[in-house]
Amino acid sequence: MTTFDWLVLFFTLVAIVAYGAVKTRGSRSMEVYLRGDGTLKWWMIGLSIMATQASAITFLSTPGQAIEDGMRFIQFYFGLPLAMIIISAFFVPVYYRLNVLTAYEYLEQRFDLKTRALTAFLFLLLRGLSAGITIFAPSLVLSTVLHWPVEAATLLIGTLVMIYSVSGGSRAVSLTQRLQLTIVMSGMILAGILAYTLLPDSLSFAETVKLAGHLGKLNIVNFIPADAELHLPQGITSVEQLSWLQKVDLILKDRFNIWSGLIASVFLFLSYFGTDQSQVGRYLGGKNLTASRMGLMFNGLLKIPMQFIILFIGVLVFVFYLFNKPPVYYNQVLYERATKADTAQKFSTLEKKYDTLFIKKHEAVMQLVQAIENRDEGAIKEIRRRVKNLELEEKALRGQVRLEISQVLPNAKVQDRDYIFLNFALSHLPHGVIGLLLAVMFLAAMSSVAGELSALASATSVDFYKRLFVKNASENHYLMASRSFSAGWTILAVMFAILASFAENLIQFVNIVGSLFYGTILGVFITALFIRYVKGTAVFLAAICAELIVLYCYFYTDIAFLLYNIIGCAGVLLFGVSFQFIINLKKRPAAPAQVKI
Amino acid sequence: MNRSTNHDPSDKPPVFANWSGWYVVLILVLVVQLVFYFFLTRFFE
Repeated sequence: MTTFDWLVLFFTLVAIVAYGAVKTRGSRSMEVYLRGDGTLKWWMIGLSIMATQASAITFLSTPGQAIEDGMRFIQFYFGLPLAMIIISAFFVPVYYRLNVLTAYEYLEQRFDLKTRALTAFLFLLLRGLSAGITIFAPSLVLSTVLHWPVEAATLLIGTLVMIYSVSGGSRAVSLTQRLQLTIVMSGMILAGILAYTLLPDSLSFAETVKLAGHLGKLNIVNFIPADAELHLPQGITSVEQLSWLQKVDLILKDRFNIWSGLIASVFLFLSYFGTDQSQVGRYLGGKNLTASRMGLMFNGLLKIPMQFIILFIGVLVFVFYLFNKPPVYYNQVLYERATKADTAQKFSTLEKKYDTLFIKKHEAVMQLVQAIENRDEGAIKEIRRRVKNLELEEKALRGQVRLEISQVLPNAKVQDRDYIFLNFALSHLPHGVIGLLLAVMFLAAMSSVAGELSALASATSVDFYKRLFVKNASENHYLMASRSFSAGWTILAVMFAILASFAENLIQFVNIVGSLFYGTILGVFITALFIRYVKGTAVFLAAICAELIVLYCYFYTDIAFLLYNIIGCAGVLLFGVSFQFIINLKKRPAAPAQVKI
Repeated sequence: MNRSTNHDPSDKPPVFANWSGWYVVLILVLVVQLVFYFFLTRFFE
């Protein structure tokens, strides 16, 4: 980091915060504060929806995920356009017709207060946790680069968001998000272009893609799990020998494949975009119904390409590291701390092994490039196998380094995937761009967390405070209360971020937490929209039973997390209809007693 | 702010009639992307 990087970082952040705060001063009512003044155009809504969903976790973690696991993660988003169509056709018109401020308001009109309160409470719990994690991810970035404690970085992000979101409300969040996402994507694309220019001059773009493909990084579409061969049942030696049922079993336990992407993801995205106030709040701020729908279509069209770009940047970094030696451990700060301890000799030995391994791998990669240029399929197959074996050795060695670090620093978090992209940027990109990319991470975190905090404030103000506690106060009172809730949730999120520690991979952790509740909430909304037969008490009890089943699946089975959405949703529908049937039976007046003659 | 003036009160779900074109475009774009990704996976593996 040079002074120039600091200046770029500082001015980018200050400019965005100042723009958001100055442009949106003076909301006069709670409604305008929480929903905006109804002037947002469709493309602004689209950008706002995308910016809320794409947190810093997305930009930190996803390139690293592509480097380690290839691009198969993109399948997770295949269901998103389908979910956009369903929400646009069925959910948004209802919200507009009933003129609601939060999605949960609709549930009281359709069912009863307790169902509204339950779903709003689940939302607060889920988003409260998520907002903390959303702040925590970029805090890791800052703390690594600046040698700061994570807490200081967390506090800084929380404070920046609070400056404009507490004063300007939903409109400030939307207006800043369009700038934030523009800068974020421009910064990422610039990093991708620079990564490509750093590759050897002799390597054409087509050869780069072929090289990545031959080494398994373009495994975008998987009909059966990519690692199925590692999980074959006893007595079976190849995937072809699996029965239909065994294949389904493997698919159900796998995280990312085309089936989970096109079926299970639809349920997750239906729940997230259709019932989660952090997204509903974004498109209800639109000029009209058409603007909201167009915003959703915009998201449906651009989301998958956006993820493709971010993953592909990871693939370019992967190819770069085939020709340039990457560090043996990507969290350099932690590595330096570990190597300063008494056991430094062990690390030196491991590094020597790693250097030798890299030289061997580099030689093999050069041969592979030659074989690709010569279109020698036989040689490609043989060298590819050799490179993959060397990669396995490298992976094992990295595992050994992690193990050593965990022994030297027992409390340290040794997972370093989320540092891969950052480490590349800091070590190989020009000054100025480094500052810009750090700003990118901050802005992504701010835009996402601001959307979440705005929604948390909305649900607290509308679904609890105004509905249950203070029903007939002045507009000014509710406006002040909404501002206080916005500030309060920011403080809570920062506190949670300080307490949180990260899971194996941040992005998946957030999704898993989400999936535990999303299916149930979606089930309640689908019942509300499509099953008129089911009433409030039945759906309320059904939601509790379905949530218990989801929690059972999480703790006691190995079903893939995306399927929790289907289980939760189906559970509410089935229990809802069953409970309503029982309730109706009890309510039915007894038949008149037959008189014996 | 009176939002009721901002949208057509006659809007009722489902509203495929006015939007079917957009929905078809979105599905077609998804299909094209799936074909493209399938091609990338198979061609470069």
